[in-house]
Amino acid sequence: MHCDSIKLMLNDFFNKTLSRVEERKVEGHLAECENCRYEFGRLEKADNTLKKVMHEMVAGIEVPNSLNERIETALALEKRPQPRPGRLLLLARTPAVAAALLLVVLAAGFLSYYNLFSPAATQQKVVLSEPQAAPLSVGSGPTDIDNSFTAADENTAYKTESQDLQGDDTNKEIGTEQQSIKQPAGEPEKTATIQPPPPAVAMKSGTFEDTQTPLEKRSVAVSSTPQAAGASAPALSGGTEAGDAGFVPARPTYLPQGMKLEDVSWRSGVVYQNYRIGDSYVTISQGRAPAAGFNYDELAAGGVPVNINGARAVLEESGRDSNDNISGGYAAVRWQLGEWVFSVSGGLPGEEIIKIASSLE
Amino acid sequence: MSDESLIRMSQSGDNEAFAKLVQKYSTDAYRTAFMVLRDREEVDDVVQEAFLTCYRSIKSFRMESSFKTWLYRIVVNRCYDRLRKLNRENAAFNKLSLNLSIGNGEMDEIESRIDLKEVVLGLKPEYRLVLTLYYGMDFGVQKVADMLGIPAGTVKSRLNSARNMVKERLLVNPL
Repeated sequence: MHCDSIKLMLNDFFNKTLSRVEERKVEGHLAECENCRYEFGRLEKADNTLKKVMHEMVAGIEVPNSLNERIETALALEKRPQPRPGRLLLLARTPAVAAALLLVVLAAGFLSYYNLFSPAATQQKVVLSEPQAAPLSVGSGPTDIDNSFTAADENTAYKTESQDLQGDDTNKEIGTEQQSIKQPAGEPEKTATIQPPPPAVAMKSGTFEDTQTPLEKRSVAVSSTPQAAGASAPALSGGTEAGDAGFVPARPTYLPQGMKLEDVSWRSGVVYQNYRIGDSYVTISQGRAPAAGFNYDELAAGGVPVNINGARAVLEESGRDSNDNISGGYAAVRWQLGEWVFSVSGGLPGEEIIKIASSLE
Repeated sequence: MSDESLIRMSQSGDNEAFAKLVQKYSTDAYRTAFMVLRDREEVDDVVQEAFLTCYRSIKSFRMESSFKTWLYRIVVNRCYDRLRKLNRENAAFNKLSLNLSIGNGEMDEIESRIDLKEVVLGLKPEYRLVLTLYYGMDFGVQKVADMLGIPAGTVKSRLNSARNMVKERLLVNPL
């Protein structure tokens, strides 16, 4: 074989992409041709040097010990189940409750009509109008509104991430500007990737609005145990966080071991505290009760009556979602104490949820 | 346990199985990303994002490639995204020109090798990646092509260029 043809094959010899037959041809020629043997020797030396240098460079890169921990923390946040639709809204979807609500609405309408046209009933107008608000407000209370908004916003976030995944299957070698143009504007990638799915995130969330900040960094910044609750006091009081909600929320003195405050947010006058340890999470919400009070009986139809510090409460529990391999069980307890309506919910057993709820101070 | 078993378990919701995949591949993923980005903070983010991406779409993974190839491809694409944002390529090119102009016949072997490392670091990221995967991590040409999503011919061409460049340098500064 001619030297030029052999020289063209030498690099592929080192690339290990020659067939066995081609390799034998090259080896046969090298045995006879000193010039080609010299060229082969130079390339072999370059190949060995590159191998040595690259091995040294790669092996010399120190990998932080915390790498796996960091990734697993991010995964744990990712595993956090999507919040379910507001329980009260779910209740309202059941035929019996929906019928009851309809009756209340009709009754309210009838009474209004009656009051308008019956002078004899004028004295009762004020008295009657308040109780009317009670059943109506149950279905549209702050908790329900917030949960439903959260679910909607999270769906949007998830969609963005799905689109991002498709981008990863695309060949995006550097320099292919067209592909870089396909990237969604405004760098949604990092934000979407690191954004956690807890209820608070979809909402306005005080000092934690910086969506560019990796979540675990935020967690560290705001983490707080019950014992160290004072450390997070500024986040829960004053004019920054809860100040916008108009009150300082109660905090739990009991939490499962290691569970820490992840973030605090508010919406429509309801403050949400999100706590987490690994896969387990708890959300505590507190808002002012509707003017006419909390309709306990209606809620009780969908759960188990329990007692939280002397107040009648309702516990709802659901097992692992069979359609979702990630989500664990879910429990929520809701009650009213004075002017406040509370809920404690999360991926913990009902007993734990009750224990946390009972520890609120 | 094989990757395939771990993937199937992950697909059926076993988070521990996915954690094992993380433990198995995070180091190499980190080193690969570091060879491109040379910035620990950026690399941390890229590797984390890559695993999150795998986790989110593990159920749709059809075993048509190995998990490692899939992960590396995501890592590489994320690295390229970061590079575009950071606009570091120009600096890398400048550095390459600078390094190639250095010539000193008195360098001993270690110095020569350090110098070669600098040359490698000054190469365009796509060249550096090919060298990292082929020489640093011992993947074959076709595997590197799959990971980078480029033709095998392009991988060979980049390897040839690097080899020829080193060959010429060794002629001037023999080890």
